[in-house]
Amino acid sequence: MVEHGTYLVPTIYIGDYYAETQKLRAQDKNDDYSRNYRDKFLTMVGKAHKAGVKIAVGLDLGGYNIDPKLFVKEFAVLIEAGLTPMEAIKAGH
Amino acid sequence: MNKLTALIPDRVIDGISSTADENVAIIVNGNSISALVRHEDIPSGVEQIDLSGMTLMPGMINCHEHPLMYSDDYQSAYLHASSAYKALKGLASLQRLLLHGWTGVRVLGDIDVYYGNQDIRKVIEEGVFTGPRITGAGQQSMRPIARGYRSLSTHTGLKASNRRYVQASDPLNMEPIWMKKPYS
Repeated sequence: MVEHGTYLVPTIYIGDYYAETQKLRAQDKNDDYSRNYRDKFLTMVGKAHKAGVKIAVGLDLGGYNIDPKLFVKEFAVLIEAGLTPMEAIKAGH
Repeated sequence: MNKLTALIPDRVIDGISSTADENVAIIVNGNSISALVRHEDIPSGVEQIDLSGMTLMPGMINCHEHPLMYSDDYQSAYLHASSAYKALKGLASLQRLLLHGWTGVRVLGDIDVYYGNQDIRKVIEEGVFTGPRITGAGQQSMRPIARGYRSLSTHTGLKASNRRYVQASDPLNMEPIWMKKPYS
């Protein structure tokens, strides 16, 4: 990915959104995945970032039913994964 | 010539530098940013808007989105509304995102077999409605007779044998196509 300049769009917060709200039974398997593998996922995103992979912000939250204020939460989880606050902001530009 | 305005916040994040700049004014010409200048270089006669206490930064880009998903139960929602209903709610949601600072949205397919997202983009580009810049694929790209078909069946309770046609995407032009099931 570094060699080709490929962007990674990890789309992390969506997992937290469904796992925290438990809004959808059809999402149960994904919720289990989010709970059990979240730490590993964040570690891998952090490793990719450290290795020089370009990170970009993506939400996957959908449309009308979602509070638009929630969309910035992706920046917070990118910081959790190891980006600095300014690196996370730049990933959204 | 459009009216020039200078926005003067406490800090500007330009999306490139690693720190915020505390001595930048943004010169706006009509609806476009024309220059970033030092405070001392603000042209005379330009209207100045004091934004003390604020930080300005470029609009945010959301690289993974499905604006037509109007319900948490998005897989059932696929079948429970018309393309027009999804597009109208999608446009409303994109306009809300724009007002929250998201000026670019990349659509990775959506819950619509027709042209909802393409038409939202079209009316925004035509200036009929305001909204963010939209790019990406209108229709879900999926293997024929594969993921979407199975998941729709699972979440709607439809049996596989009840559906004679499956929805898929032409991988080259991202336009929706209907495919007859090769078995029944």
